[in-house]
Amino acid sequence: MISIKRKNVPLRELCCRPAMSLSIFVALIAFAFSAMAQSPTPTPEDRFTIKGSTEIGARWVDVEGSENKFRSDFNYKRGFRVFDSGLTIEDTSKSGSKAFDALTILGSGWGADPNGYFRANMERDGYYRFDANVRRVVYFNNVNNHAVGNDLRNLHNSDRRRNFGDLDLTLLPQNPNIRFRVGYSFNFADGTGSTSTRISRGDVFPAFQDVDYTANDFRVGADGKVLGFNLSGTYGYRSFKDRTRFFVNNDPGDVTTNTVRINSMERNYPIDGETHFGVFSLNRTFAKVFDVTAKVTHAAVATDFTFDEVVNYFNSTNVNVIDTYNAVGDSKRLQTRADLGFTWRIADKFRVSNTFNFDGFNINGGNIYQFVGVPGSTTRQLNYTATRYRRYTNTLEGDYQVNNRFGFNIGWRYTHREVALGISTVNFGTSIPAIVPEEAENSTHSVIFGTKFKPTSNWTVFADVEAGKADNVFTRLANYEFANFRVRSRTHFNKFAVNFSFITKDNDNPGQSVTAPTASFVTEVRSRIFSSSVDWNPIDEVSITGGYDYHWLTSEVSVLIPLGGPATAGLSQYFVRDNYFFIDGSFRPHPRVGIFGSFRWNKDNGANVAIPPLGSSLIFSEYPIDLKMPEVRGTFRLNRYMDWSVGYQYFDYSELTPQQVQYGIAPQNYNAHLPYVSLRIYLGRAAMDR
Amino acid sequence: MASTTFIKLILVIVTFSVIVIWGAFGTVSQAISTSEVALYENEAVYQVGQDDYVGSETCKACHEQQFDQVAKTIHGKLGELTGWKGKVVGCEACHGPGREHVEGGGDRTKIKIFKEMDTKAVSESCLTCHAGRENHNNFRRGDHFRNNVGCTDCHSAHGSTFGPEKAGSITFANDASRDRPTLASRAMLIAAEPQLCMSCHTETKAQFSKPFRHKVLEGTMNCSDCHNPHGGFESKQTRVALGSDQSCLRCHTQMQGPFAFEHAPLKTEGCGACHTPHGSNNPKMLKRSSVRQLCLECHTNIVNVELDPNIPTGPHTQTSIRTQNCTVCHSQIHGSNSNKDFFR
Repeated sequence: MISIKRKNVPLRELCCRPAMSLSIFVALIAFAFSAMAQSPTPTPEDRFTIKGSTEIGARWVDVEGSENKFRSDFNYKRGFRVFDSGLTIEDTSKSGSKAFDALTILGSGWGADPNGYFRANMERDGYYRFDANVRRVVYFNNVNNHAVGNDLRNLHNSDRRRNFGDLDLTLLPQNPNIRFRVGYSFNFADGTGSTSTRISRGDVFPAFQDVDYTANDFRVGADGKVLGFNLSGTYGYRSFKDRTRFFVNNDPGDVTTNTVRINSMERNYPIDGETHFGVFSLNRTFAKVFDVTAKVTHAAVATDFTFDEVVNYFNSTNVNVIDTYNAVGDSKRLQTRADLGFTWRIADKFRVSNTFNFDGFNINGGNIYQFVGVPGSTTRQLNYTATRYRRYTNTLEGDYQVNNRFGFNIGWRYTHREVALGISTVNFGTSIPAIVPEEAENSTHSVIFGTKFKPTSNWTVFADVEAGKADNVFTRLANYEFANFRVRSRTHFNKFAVNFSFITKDNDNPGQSVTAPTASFVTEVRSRIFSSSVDWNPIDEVSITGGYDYHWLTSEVSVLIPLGGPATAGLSQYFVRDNYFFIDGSFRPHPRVGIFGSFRWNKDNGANVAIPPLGSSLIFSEYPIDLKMPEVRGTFRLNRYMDWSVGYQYFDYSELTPQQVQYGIAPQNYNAHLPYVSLRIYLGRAAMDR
Repeated sequence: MASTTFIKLILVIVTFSVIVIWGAFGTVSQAISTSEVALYENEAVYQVGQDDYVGSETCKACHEQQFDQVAKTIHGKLGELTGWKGKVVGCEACHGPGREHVEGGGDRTKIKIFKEMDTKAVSESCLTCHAGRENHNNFRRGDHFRNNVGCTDCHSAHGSTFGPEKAGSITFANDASRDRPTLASRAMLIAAEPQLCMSCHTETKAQFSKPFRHKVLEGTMNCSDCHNPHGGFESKQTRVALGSDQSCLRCHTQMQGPFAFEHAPLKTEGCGACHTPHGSNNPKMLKRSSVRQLCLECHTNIVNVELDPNIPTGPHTQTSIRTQNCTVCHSQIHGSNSNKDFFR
């Protein structure tokens, strides 16, 4: 197992640390109390309306079985936590000097929880609006990988913490003529992990990572109205740097088929980059019937990097070898998007819309590369790549509202795409050939139809379908024939609601290969999703919601694969047969007692077909699992200001193992017990109203 | 010289077009044109001869409950102004002039009752004020509008009314805490995200309950972090990051590149080509449990991969467990600066 390595962090990063965010949250709670306790002129009750609650508690976690899988799935830890907290302060005074009309703060998931957030909204109508959204995710991933056979080590894992957030300030937010916006976003990641690295032209080892990534965004913009046109402009800038280090300090143990032994590896790979982007949009509605929106975006992104790697290992003949890799280079992307849409309300019940989109970018990158291995194996190269992409899409739609209970729309979409890819590798000392790019382009059409009708006043049915060819010009040479259908039913009564959805997606891709023109490469993907839910609130004290979902998916791909000899025509299959059932219930048997119970069950049964032997031309994959998640919780009102809760949560995960049987890897089953207690404290009006 | 002439020609055409459009449509996007505006001062003192308007206080006489509820909202606060965007404010801003309704003893046919209107007509009414913000500009061309999901399916113009508080899960956010303050009430939503979105998109609740998922039920993310429910130019009404990047890159910044060697589908098809953004039983939210299956759906002929017919077949043999997982060797599959085959 790997663990997060604590590091000294720059002062600027401290602002997003959980402890700091928590401190801010506590400070604001304290502010709420102080606001309530202020001098009586005017009385706090007169001036401030305060409403909020915070829940603090502790949780115990006991995992039997694969703790790595449990942490990869949920990552809940034992310890103190602050969660599900919120506070609203409204300043109802007419004072011209008040700081805000309303301040709302929400927070959850701090402490032993892996996913924390802190949101704040503060605004004074007519003057400003401030929004903050700060999040922290502790991401853990360490699950078995069949590629390493009986070796239970996963080559690609991580234990990282990411702090990211957005802070936005709008000045004069309600002003119809001019508004100003400034914003800042940050994104910091640190922690550990591993990836795989290839040595001696074949053998693979895990390379450990010391993750250090930083990105900062700044944006400024203005919105306004000129000559009846709503105009909006934004300029943004992002700088980012990646200082992630890759290393192997000693031989971590051979992967099953390795023939070399590694002594050490050190890779320094600093990347710096920046993005400049500008967005301009325009909107106007003429005579209340003709609405036009145009938007133009231009972005320029550039990175530069150096790559230095030294690998010390014993090769298959037990000779100590030191390989060095060096690369230096840069890459640029220039992207322009232009969108134009209009809607013409020809009659009260009839509209026509047209939307045109253009997306184009060029990416140019390259490096100067040097590899020095055993004496005499030095390679020096100039690598250069170029990508050119253009996409034009036009969607024409019309919708007609027959009456209040029935309307429909019909549309047509046209897409034209052009992709050109070029790559050149030139050894030093040789002439530089011109890049001959691989080019592809296609034009596709699809039709759209949708309807909404209300058979009764309580029952609404939505249905839509889109069928035709999609624009995957690059990933496959042929078009992507698809048909997507979706129907939803919503039935709502006063105390009772029933929802159904059914979604089907059929995708066929009759692929071709320039290197095997007579072979047929067909990809067929069929997906069916049925979803349902029921909500029942017979009385205020009882609330029950439940549902069932079934996801059926089959993917079959005709492939040409090598099986130790000449290539063989084969078939690659993937199956999903996933059931999801849930029921949640809330009860209040006594004014001072609340009970919550839930049961969530996710089970993929697999396709129940015979598993082909390894080395077969039939490639088979599925991931049948069984995950049960029951929870029960009791809440007891102690007094007007406090509730005490006690609960228990259980996770029962098991893998139904065809893949593990096939590859000899033990299932990563676990049972996790999570008992918890908590105290909810109510503030201000939230307490008074109880 | 030729370029100067061209610029002049463009200017003439643009000017002429503006004049024609202006002449054809005349007025600007207002609910009520300037000549119709009823500017009123507090106690329903009307100007510009708007005798058809009676003022919100008159409405209160019969609709006190609704009046009190609206008064707490930002819509209610507009009633304290003398006019906003040159429009009528108060109840009649949405429901229309009420004099005939009042004189008719509450005649329902003489006032706009939104429950009896079709969804698009309701939305058009809201858009008379709420159009013009970039966030809302494409609502009329969005999936929701097209499928007759209107403003009042998610928002309440009279303000949010959440039910009594209930006990709920401490792990997954749910609607058990309706009475607690949320940002939903500021946006006048009828319920908080994600419960609001899931009331129609029911299948997403199962997706967000999978072992590998974005933390939406936990509250760390909202649906509207990635999707713009008010429409947009992107497929599935997704938002964009940094002006032109797909919304995933707003948080997953390391993947934005550009790389010296791009895995082109990341840019041309998007992250959704390989990942299921809502949730999956498969690690890393991949669309397939086996990486090999995922790669083969595009690279069907791995004997000679399309871009490089010179790739030898040996390293790709499917008789070896190790070479069955493509990303063991092609570890930098999102793009690399050092190796065109994404090895390092």
